[in-house]
Order: sequence, then C-alpha cells, then structure tokens
Amino acid sequence: MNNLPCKKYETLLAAQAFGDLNSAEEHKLRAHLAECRDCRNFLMATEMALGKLGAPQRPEMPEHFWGGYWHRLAQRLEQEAAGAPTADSVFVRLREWLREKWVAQPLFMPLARTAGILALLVCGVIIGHYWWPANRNEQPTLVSTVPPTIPVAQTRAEQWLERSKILLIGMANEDLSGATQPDFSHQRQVSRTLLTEARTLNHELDPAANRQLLQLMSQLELILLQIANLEAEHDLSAVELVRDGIARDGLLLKINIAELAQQAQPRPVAPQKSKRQSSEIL
Amino acid sequence: MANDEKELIRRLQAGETSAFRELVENHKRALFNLAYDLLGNAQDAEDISQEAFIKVYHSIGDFRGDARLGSWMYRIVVNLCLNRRRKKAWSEMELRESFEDDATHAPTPTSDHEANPEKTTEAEMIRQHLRRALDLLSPQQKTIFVLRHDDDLPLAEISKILKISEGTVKSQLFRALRKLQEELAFYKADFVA
Repeated sequence: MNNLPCKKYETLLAAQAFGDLNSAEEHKLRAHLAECRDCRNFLMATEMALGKLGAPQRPEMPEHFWGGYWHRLAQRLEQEAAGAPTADSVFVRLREWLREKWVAQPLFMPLARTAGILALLVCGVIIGHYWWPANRNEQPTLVSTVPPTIPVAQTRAEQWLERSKILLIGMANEDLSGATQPDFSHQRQVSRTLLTEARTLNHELDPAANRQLLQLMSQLELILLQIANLEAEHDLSAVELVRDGIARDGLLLKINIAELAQQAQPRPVAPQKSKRQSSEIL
Repeated sequence: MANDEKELIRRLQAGETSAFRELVENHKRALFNLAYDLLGNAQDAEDISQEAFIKVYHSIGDFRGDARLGSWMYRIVVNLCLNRRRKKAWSEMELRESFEDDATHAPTPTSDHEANPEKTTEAEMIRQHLRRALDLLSPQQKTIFVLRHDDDLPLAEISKILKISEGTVKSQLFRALRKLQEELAFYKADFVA
C-alpha cells in the first residue's frame, strides 16, 4: 500500500481521476504532482483501478422486456388506483418507517432486549402479586361449608401460635453463658407485635368454640409481655424468669397440643406462612 | 431548462396520459440502468424504476422546475435504491443472527453479473472483485461513485441530485477511491506489472 496522498489535494486528485478539473485546478495539481511522489502514486493506482473496473456491465434486456415495460407500469398504476395492496400500503410504510428510524439504529437491539427482559420481570411481578395468591386461596370446596369469618380468625390464631412457639423456643435455647451478651431487641419487637395481634384475635375468636385456645393465649400473653418489657440486652435475670415461666407452665407442650387440636378440626385450607416466612418475621 | 422539457412538464401537470407515456419511454432505460448500477439486480432495477415513475406521476404537481426533470427523477431513484439497500441490509442482519456460524462476512454475490461466472480470466476476476468492493462503500459513497463512474454524470449534477455540496461529492469520491485501492492491495503486483 502506498503512503497516503496529501490531505490538501484529496479533492483535486478525486476530480482529476475522472477528468473533472478546470484548467487552473489542473495546473495547480500538476505542479504539486511534480514534487509529491505519494500523490503521484495515488493517482496512478486510481487510474489503474478504474481501468480494471471498466465500464459497468449491465444486462442486455430483451426487446420484449422494454416493449412490455409501459404495460406493466400501467398495470401497477391501475392496481394502485383500484386500492389493491401495494408496497405502499399504510402498514408496509409504517413498518418500513419503524425499521429505518428505530430498528436500524445500532443501540436498538441491546435496548430492545433489555426492555424485553424488564417487561417479563414486570409481568412476573404483576402475576405473582395479583394472580398467584388468589389462585392459592381458591382450593378446597370446604370453604363453602364453613362461615368465612371464623376460619380466618382460626387460621390467624394458628399462625399466631406458631410464631409464638418459635419465639419461645428461641428464648428457651438462647445461650446466655457466651462471651458476648445476647441482644433481645428483635424478640421484644416481635413480642409487641404478637401482643397487638392477640388483642384483635381475642375479639374475633368465638369464646364458646375456642375456650382452651383463648386460655392458652392469655398465658402466652403474660410471657410475651415479659419479653416485650425486657429492660435491655443485658437483662439476663429477666430472661431467666421468662424461661422459668415457659417451663413451669409447659407452654410449648400446650401449643403443640393446641395445634394438633386445630388441625383435627375440619376447616378450609387457609394461606399459611412457611417456616421461612415465620423465621423472617422473627 | 429546454422548452421541450417545459412543455412536457406542463402537459404532465395537466394530467395528459400521453405525456406520461412519453416521459416513461424517454427515461425508462436510464432509470433502469441507474437502479441496476446501484443494486446489481435486474428485477430490483425494474421494480425501482417503475416505482420512481409512479412517484413522478403522483408528485409532478409539486415539481417547481428548479432542477432538470432528469435530475429530479435520478434523485427519486437514488432515494428508492438507498431505501431498498437498507431493507436488504436489515434482512441480511436478521439472517446473520439466525445463522451466526456463517463462514464469512464477505459481501455475498447478489448481482446478476457476479452470479454468472462466465469468464474466469484474471482480468475478469479483478473486475468482479472491484465490483464487490463497491458494496463495501457507504451507501452515499457508492451512489456518488456509480453516478460519476457508471452513469458519467458531472460532479455538479451529482451534488444537485444528492443535495450536497460539490466539495462533499469530491471528498466522498476520494474516500471511495481510497477504499477501492485498499481492497485492491492484493492485486498490487498486477498494477505494477
């Protein structure tokens, strides 16, 4: 490959290759070529390339092609006038416009893919939020046999018991002899939440049908109250009192029995939080 | 503008079918050849040239006569060809995505004369290589090169057709020539010989 020709003479060289210079320009270029080898080489190589390229080779269309040209054109015009679908239909034009203006842009494909992924995610979230929970609730035919308010309260009571049990198990098994003092601030917070819920459940549960459950709940409320009122993370003596209360009243055992009793009752399958969800709450 | 052409335009704008036929008969070969030079395919060339005539038929009322009728029609053909090339590039891009393991990215021989290897002499091989190299130019560069080299239009006329300055035409022409030379480096020995 030759060296690049002089930038200043590029346009003159291009015009000279096709014989498009006026006499003044030609004179100027000739003077330059006399002393510039790169420009001379460029011009020579260009002339050779154009010589090799030669005249354009076009197909020799038969005479009937040219003879029928007007007829075919007239047919197209007639079709267009009759409203037959042509390449200029609105849909085709719109599609082409979109392609030219947007799709041909280099950033279109990455952006389109990203937008597609985002759209899928949004659809997933919407489906998960609106459709899936509703679908999970639509299961048993038993729903129709039981009044709706009580099962909901019973289910919530069962969940309340489960969460209380997990909290008490955690308190009972906390290692208090370690080098670092345990922090019960989270348990205090959970206890307060459970106490608030217990007040609501006490109003909602039917006392006649849930006598034992309500008794157990009141016992648990006492313990929860103790936990909620722990002074600070170093209040170990108060923690010991909580543990004693759990053991003395056999609360964990009572919760298990109450859960078994609840499960033995015919009732609709209500949404239950998984173990993972319960532990997240705690 | 010649008086004959003015009269033809007047008759066209008056909606005379015979004037339109006269226009078609006078320019059909030139428009077909230009489209063929730009697209390298006879079927596309006929389609584009007819589309150009249809556009002329519908838009002649807007023609103000500030350019020659021929230049105006050339501009229409050039624009249609550029659009057609974009569409083809899009289709090829879709195909390339489907067949990513294509052996080569070299331009495919789409033109009639490239697909018809009647002559396999060395000179013909170089000529075909050069023609294929034209497809590597940008659409504007190829258009300018074809209009100047194949259709022998003056630079001033090309600048009017493409609505760009004559200086831009020359600089684009220079770049086209440079690219052609780069493509032909392989045959440098032939040039020297």
